[in-house]
Amino acid sequence: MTSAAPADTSPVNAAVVRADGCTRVFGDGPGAVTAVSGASLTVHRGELVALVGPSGSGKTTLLSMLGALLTPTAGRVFIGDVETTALTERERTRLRAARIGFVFQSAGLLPYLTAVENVATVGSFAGLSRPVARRRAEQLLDELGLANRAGHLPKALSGGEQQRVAIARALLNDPPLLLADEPTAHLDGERGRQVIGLIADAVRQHGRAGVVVTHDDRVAAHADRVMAMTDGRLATDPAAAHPAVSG
Amino acid sequence: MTWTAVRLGIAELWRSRARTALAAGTVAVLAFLTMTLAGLADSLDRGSTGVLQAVDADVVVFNEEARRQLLRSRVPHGQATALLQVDGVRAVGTIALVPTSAETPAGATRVTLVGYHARTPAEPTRLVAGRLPVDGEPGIAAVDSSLRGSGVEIGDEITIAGDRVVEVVGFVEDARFLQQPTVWVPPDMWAQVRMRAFPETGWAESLAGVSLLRISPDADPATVAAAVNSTVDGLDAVPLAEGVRAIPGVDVQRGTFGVIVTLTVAVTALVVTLLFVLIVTERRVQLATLRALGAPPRLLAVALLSQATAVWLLALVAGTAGTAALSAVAPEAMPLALRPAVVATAGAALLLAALAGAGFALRRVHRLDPAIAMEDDQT
Repeated sequence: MTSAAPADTSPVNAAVVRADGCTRVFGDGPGAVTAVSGASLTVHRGELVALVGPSGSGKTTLLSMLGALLTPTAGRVFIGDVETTALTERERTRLRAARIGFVFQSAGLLPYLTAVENVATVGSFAGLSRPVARRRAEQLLDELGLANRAGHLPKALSGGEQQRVAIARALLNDPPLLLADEPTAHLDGERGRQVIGLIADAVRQHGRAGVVVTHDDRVAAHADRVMAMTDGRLATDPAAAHPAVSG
Repeated sequence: MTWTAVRLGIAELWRSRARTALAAGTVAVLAFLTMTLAGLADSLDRGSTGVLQAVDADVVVFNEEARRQLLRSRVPHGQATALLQVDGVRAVGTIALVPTSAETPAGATRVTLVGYHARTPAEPTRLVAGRLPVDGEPGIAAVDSSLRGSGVEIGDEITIAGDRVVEVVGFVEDARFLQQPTVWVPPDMWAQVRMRAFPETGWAESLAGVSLLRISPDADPATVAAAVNSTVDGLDAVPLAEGVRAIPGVDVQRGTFGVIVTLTVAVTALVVTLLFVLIVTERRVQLATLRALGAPPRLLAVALLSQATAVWLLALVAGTAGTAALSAVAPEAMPLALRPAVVATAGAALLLAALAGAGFALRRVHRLDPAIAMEDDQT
């Protein structure tokens, strides 16, 4: 896949995202719910981590904290050397646009934009000019086998095609971090395999870090590490203590 | 970024045409109501006050006993000399009104005869065809252009007050008084008609009505009016706008229509607010997804405001077209004309209402939690 950003010269095993003792509590008083408790996780360049666990175990909440969508109640999150938990809302918005690619469970495409428009639109969030964003969107769709579907609205695309468009959108600004929440949940076996293969390629071939929340064993099979969450607690992250293990 | 926002907003409207049509149609009904009410208010107002609005004056002078009634005022034109001595007064004219009737090709109609001196501030400024009579011309008149509806043309002779024949030499626009057309004549003809209508008043040597003052460009009408009142006994001078408001029914008419139009605009704001709150609520996950992907709140705000502007524009075009069509078929008793100034003013009020309504919905966008994007209920 094509990269629009300058070559990354950071070490091959550099940590792209790191969570240190992250806790997230919703509500307060007796009704407070601790969704994630003291989670620590480090993901390096070229590494794909699968977060698994039963529903309600806190996987999506942890992913939201890694993606600067949610602020931890306690603990810190770093993307590269930037502590996202210390940023203002505006700074987090800019950081998400430039450094994080999201793939949502239901693709989350805007129904009133064509596939190529959906992909190209996020370019402006990161400061790309319209023609550049458009060219790159067309190129990404071509690489993902959707060149002939670029002008179609999401309703005319299959679930797998929509998810591929969402992957193209996530990659448009060439982010170092790719986060995916149940990307294969609504896809059949073949399409699910295809989508997770694309995510794994996007991570490994371009030195990104990837975190995928999943229930899907096919995803786990593609991951470099599988980390389990239970009742808001994450199994110990060996990479946090031994960064060199990733790869 | 702003362009992207506008494109996003307009793309959503374009690709959801049925919903856009519903929203624009709803606002168009309100725009039609606003335009119709504003057009009616404007037409009625001009029909009542045109005689004073048509002259090039800044201050109106009544005699005290007239209580600011144009028909009752009897300020003799001879006061002009005294009025010209007042600081700030540059020119003085007089108009004198007599209610009477005119025989037109379409039959008898009520008119107001206006006696005036040519080349003074009393001369009507809105000549749209022909010419104005000059002092000393016998049997010549300029008439309000609404008499064209009664078949009157330039060169026609019409009979005034039963037996006075005048030739129409010009048309003046928007110069009606109390919804009646006006007939502008030199002082001699006015004196003849007044003598016939009110024989007990005797022959008038000169016009006696209201004095109209044109003031220096740097003078303030209220100050000049106060100076007149303190300098010349028995007079009641007021700025032109105040003299216009003193015409019977004008204040009540303006107040009533003002309240109705304001309420209609307020309802428009409420409807637009509801529409956009619904849109934001319905599109909550989509908007949160955009936020999650790095769209700043400003982008979503511009997208929403561009949608409000587009809905307003569609509604304005439809509402204005509807009102224009209504004015074309409206009976004569319903004076409805849509001037560009009315469309501009009402349109601006509706735009403010639309932006205010959308702006209210924006608060929800600003409070939107981007983490909602992770919810699995996206459309």
